[in-house]
Amino acid sequence: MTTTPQAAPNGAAGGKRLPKRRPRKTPLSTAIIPWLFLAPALVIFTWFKFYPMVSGFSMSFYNVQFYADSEWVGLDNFYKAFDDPDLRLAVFHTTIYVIVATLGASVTALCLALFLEGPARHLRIIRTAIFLPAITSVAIIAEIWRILFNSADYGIINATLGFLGVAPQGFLSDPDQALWVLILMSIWKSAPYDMVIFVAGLVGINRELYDAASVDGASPWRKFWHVTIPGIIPSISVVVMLSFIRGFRIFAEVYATTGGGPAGSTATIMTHVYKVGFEELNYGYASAVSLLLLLFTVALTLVHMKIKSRFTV
Amino acid sequence: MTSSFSSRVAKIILYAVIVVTFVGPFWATLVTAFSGVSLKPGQLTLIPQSPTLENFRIAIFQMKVWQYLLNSTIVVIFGTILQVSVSALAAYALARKKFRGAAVVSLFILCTLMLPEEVIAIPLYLVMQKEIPILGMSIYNTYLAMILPVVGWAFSIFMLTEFMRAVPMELEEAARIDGANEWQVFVNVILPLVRPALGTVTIFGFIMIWDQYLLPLIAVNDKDLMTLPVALGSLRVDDTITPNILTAATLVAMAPSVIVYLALQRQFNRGIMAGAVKG
Amino acid sequence: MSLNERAPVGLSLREEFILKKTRSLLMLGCAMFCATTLTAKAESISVWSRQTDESISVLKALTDAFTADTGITVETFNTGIDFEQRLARAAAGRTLPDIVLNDTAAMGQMRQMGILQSIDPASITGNQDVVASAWDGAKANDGKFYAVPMSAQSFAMFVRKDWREKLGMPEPKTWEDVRKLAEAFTTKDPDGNGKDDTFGMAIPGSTTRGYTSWFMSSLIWQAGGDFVKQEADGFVPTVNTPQVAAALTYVRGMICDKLSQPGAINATTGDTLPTFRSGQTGIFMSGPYHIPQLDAEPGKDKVEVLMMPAGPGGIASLAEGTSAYLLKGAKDEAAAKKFLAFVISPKGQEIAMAEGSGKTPLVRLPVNAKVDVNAVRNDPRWMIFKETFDKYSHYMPAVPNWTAIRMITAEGFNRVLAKCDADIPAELETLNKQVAKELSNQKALSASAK
Repeated sequence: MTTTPQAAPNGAAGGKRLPKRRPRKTPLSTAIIPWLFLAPALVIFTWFKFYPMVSGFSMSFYNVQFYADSEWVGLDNFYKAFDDPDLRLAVFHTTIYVIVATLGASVTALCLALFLEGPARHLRIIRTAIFLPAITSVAIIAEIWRILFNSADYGIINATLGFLGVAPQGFLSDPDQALWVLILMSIWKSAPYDMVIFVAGLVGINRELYDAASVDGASPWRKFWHVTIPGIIPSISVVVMLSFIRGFRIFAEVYATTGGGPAGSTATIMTHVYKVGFEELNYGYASAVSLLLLLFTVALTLVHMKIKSRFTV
Repeated sequence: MTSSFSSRVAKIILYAVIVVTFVGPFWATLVTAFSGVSLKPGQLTLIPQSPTLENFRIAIFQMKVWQYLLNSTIVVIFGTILQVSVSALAAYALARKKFRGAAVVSLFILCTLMLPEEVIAIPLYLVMQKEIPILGMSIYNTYLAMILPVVGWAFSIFMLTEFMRAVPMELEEAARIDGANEWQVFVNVILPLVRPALGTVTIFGFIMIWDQYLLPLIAVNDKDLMTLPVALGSLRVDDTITPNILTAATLVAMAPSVIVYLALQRQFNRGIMAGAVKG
Repeated sequence: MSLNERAPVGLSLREEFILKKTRSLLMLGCAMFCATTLTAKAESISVWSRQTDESISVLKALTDAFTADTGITVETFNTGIDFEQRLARAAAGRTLPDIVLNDTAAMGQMRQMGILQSIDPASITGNQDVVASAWDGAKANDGKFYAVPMSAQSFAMFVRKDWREKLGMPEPKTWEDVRKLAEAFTTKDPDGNGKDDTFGMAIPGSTTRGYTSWFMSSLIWQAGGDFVKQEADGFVPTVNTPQVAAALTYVRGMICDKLSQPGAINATTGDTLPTFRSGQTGIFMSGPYHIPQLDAEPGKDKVEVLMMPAGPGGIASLAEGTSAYLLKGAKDEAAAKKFLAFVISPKGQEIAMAEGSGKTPLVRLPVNAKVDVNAVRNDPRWMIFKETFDKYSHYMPAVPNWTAIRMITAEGFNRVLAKCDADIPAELETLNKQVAKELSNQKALSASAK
């Protein structure tokens, strides 16, 4: 998802050989052809993505008026962002969410992958079945979880806990639990997807390395630690980065379950933006916070590329 | 013998736990949608009882879900076809041509992957209102307004670019020696060789377009043009609708993604891996 | 193709329909799937209404009657979600409708968006028939009118009569009575199914759209408190008073002692209604607009409407209304004003009251003095709402932008209700400062509060 052509290991070969073909063509048509192929995409991207994005971000510098002319306020919206205690809290929640959900999903996915890897038919069927959460839209999952984690004692999870002798829990109604339920939901939704990535990584590990380790009398744990883990480091790095980048923009999952409550305990950066921008209609401030978030995401992506290039080169 | 037996039992129990954890909630939804029992909010039934299709009948005909389904279908079909075509063209240029500005174009496209949708809601709305010169009308409140913006998707461009890069240069050169022009190379050499990748981006595109919520919400003002996810959103605030009917409508909304996934699983998994390995 | 070509309400003339279809077929040839917005030949206005599809037939009946009377066609649009955002986008795109039917309390926010046109009541035919208290709700703090009131309402308690009688409890009249009834409903298995699955009061505690604040308002007035106090030079926030604390303590008691439905703290009104309808809760504070739905389920014979209970400060209820707003840039102001006049006319009011339709009425309590609620509704329950409105109701304070204050207080109240051990006075003190800050942003903070 975060590919750039330069970073692709197998792209270089094709690219390097291209210039050989050039002399046969007239320079003009050679120069134009790529742009002809790109034209439809560029038109669409410019018109529907780039232009709205730039004009959206330009609102950061205005006190946006909808019917009258907006008022230029310079960096005021940004100052406000650094001075907003609710935003600080939202950043804190989002950070916890991202870190715990990422770790949780990766570990769960790795366990699932190790346990369910293999060509056997029943394993394939199970892998297919548990992929269901990954292809279901967030709105629907949120609805299902609200019902599952209903705080009544007849709510399905509470009923199950009651069977085990645990008192009914508040879950999404409890300020101390709501964020953790959302983290659990995120793990539930992303673990199967990550599992597929890990399964691919596991399949790619050279079997001879395992055999060699067995010959050396390595314990299963040592094999896991010295053969399996190094073998899937690239997969792990991808899973973690994707989860980080998406996690900081977490919105729909929260908005559709708790709306940021109770007592603001699940407010994230984007639900805060939504509340200020779209319920209180302060678009300028909402744009400013979004711009900051975008810059942060871009920085994360660049760090990721840097780390990745160190691994692959 | 006993140890292998008990380990097998343990394995089966573990399988069951995994399946119940990830599939159980969907089972409960399915049963509720087909059940005629009246339920309290936040209640689901796990055991099928008094099975009925009534919920679906009400959802599909009374709540006009069929119409939203049709709209979603129109948008997803044309959207996916256009998205894959435009992406394939762009990927061809990025993968097979060396030209000044290629890096800038990639960066430009990459940037759009990171923008929070909500922020561009108003500017995008204004763009849609503008009259398009050739047509002499604006696309606002038409299917086009829901289709065109999703045609550009960085993910599918990058994925196709990766796959097109992997096609050996020799095949292209051979075609050129036979007198193939640029278009023929694209259509007859490159496209057939990346067919599996086209399948993959088609599925990802399909699911991505099917689940669009914000775009159709701002793109049309006409009820009869609403797509299913938007309609579900308004059904949810309509307090006359029972949980059974809502779950039935939800299942209808889920079905296409699930069917597409089950039918084209292999391409789907390949897509995830490609995205992972190369991403 | 014909799907999106369904004629908008009021444009149902056969000719136009055929014309439209032909046109659309032609368009199909040149451009894929483009709907055309037909530029109407006749006089035409557009009206947006904030309501769900459930009562769309009521809106249609109203606009159809208007078209029949005046020949002016009406294009309508309604939605229950995303309404304010849609207005904001339309404002930015200069594609606003001529008239918006929305909550009276939304006036501040719509004014802040700069999309409202002030109205001289004298320019609306029949304005003198509208009761003065209703006009108050349409007046902004600058003394000008920005809307025509079309409907008023107060709130009351819907109680499961069958449950109450089965348990031998009296009609609740005070906070203590309501508390006892809620306890009985929760613990004494009023539905007799042998399961512990019933609760007392349905409470919408979610901060979404400010529901917590909206719900708490009636109780705050019952406790003798208020959100703000109006001074000559602005407003003084008063959410740190013992009265407000008393109201929150009372409601928090219901939630923490599990006398309200599970998940109350995240519930919106969309979540609470089903709890009452399905027999999960037995006490439901709401407006008369829910009468038709509750008559259908749980049933007319099972539900009674009782006046709001008296708290330490007596009986009180939030007064709300629906107003018809005239927007800036209305293409045909004369036609729009004719519509406003029609909405407040006895005929328009009666149609929008939708008696007997089983649908949520657009007009709950009529604002036109010439319309007799009793004659139209012929239902004593409606008279309870009318009496409450006339004697005990409070409109939300007329601060410049109430929506912002509602969001802030909802957040603060939700914080208190969510934590059973929260220090209520301390939390309210913090909240009071936030309200003062917001008032100051709106340039409406009284000097005495600084």
